[in-house]
Amino acid sequence: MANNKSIAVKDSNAVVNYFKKNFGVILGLVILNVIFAVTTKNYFTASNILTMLQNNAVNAIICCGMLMAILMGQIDISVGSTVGLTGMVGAYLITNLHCNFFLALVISLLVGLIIGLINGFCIAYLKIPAFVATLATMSIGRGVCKIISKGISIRIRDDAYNAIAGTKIVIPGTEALSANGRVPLSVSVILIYAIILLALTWLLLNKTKFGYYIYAIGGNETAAKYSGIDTKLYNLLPYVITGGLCAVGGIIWASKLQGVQSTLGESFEMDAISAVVIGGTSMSGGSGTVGGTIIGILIIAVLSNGLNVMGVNSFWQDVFKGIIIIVAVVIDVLRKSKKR
Amino acid sequence: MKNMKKVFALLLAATMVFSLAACGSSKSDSKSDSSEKKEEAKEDSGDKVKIGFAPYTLTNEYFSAVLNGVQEACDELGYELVYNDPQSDSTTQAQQVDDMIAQGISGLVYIPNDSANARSVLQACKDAGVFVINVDNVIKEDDYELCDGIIASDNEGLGRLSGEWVAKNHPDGANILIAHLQTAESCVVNVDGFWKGIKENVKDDSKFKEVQVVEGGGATDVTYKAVSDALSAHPDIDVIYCINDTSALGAIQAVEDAGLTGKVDILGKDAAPNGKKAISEGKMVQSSGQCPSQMGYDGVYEISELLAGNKIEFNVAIDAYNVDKDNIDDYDLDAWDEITHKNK
Repeated sequence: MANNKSIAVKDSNAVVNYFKKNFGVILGLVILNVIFAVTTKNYFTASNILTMLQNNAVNAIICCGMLMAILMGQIDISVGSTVGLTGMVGAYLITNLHCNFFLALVISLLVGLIIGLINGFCIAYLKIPAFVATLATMSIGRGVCKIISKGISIRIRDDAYNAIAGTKIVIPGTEALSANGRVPLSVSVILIYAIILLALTWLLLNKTKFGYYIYAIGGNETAAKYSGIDTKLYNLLPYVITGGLCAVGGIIWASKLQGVQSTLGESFEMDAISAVVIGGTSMSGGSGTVGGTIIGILIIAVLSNGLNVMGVNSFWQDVFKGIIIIVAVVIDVLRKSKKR
Repeated sequence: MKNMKKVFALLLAATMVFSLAACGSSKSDSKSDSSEKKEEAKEDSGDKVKIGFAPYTLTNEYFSAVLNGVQEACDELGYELVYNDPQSDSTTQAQQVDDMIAQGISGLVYIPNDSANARSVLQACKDAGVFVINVDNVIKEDDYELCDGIIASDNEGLGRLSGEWVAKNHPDGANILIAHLQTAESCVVNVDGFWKGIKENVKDDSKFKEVQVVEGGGATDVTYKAVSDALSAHPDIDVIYCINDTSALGAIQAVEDAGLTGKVDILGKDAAPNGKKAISEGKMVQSSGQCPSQMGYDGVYEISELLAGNKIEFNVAIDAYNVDKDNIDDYDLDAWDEITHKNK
């Protein structure tokens, strides 16, 4: 929540606009929080909120890319598989090939960018529908991940690599606020990565030519083309960025869990798409914001953490997530039709 | 607005079509492995005997270990091994078994994806005169007539060993969190065994409380998230029982993040290489070992007995063994189980 506000904190008008624009989802987020806080004993504690945010930080990073794809009226369902593959590549390089930690990072990142490049090339230049192109790379990525790992999980025993996501910033004197009262609260560095990347995405979409072109292409590709935008190039670039972001996600999970299993990242695309859509981004492209997406991410986070803390069977969590998506989209559609 | 609706409807339709396509698209290549020892081939024609292996999936180290055992026995006997990866899908598995029958296998080492739907596969093998040894995931009792032999781990026994460990090391009771894989019958039996292991070994079982069951999907990342949420809800957890070592690795990390390392005992299952390493590092306290390689190895030897016209014992249970910090040095940390009973 804190970082949404910081985006627009200088201009009170912007704050008002932000709340107006995202009224439905913010209300939903507040209601969910109230329900969990009232019904569930250990939900609204500082340590649980920090755990919840940390566990959903990688989703936030992936959402930065997913938002761009959906803004162009397209989609990227290969994100989960790219997270798994890049994480696995890093683990394999470090553990099996005893590769230098820095080199492993660079190669993982390159793998992510290359997958993004393939996605973008197929979609922008070969005109393959985004769903099909990324479905194909999803399958290829997961397959290669399993080939590299031979189906077994790889452990990482490199302190430098494991520190990438394992580092925590301890807040001294907060022992009383923690779950067991014994250790002080700490903010995971993953959360900071996510905030930085969300802020960069906001800058990219709102303060650069690149962002302007993305919205233009999503709004009306033909018009964008005739106004002189290289629509192919600007359709390709977001996928490359998404690939890079997924690599960051893969490295984070590999480092956090100190190892990679070949199923890492399965169904990550569902959470990312859900968050972006709940956040008010139109599936037909052209409209959607980072601020709205953050609310979407938080709703997904609150829902999965809250139901876990409440002790609800995970099978029900999928049902609730689906219901929330429908409700969010209906609210969005109703508000838009009112305006007209 | 109208246009947008159309686009949305189209997208929705496309999503449905492609998710269907995605379900059906998990074909995988058939792999054939042959060995050099031709002189041991038993068929009169001089062709090598072909053995099929239908695993649950091959993207799981446990089933890779079964495959290693199957491969080793085939190498020893001079059989040719044919196998596919059904990727946890029972429809795909049934098609792959049909393909194997068409390739002329004499016997099948069969781990059904869905024991309730095994009948059609068993019937197809019976009709083709293919011997079937069912391993690991046991078929339903009314299908026994269609099968030639069963070799399985004692799932209840595996859980029971872990339960006994908890009873012994927490005599005054414990708050227990289960990181489950609720869709797998073997895991349900396993967790039942865990509770039996506790209840049979303590005087007052009311002090052993199941504070929560979380779904870990048998995966490290899913378990990590679920366990860290559960630790928020119940900071007083003493014991976490995970249905495999892979998910236990996620629990270890979650406990570490909550600053509870050393205060929560984490138990796994399988005594997989990763689990054994965690025990030797003191991050996990106990894991009940299975013998996947031995199971695959024995399966092929049972087929060889049947091919030679001999009788075999129909139902063989492979005992579980306990691995904890007291005996961890006796085990090879890099391997699953060793094939201890060779060439019976």
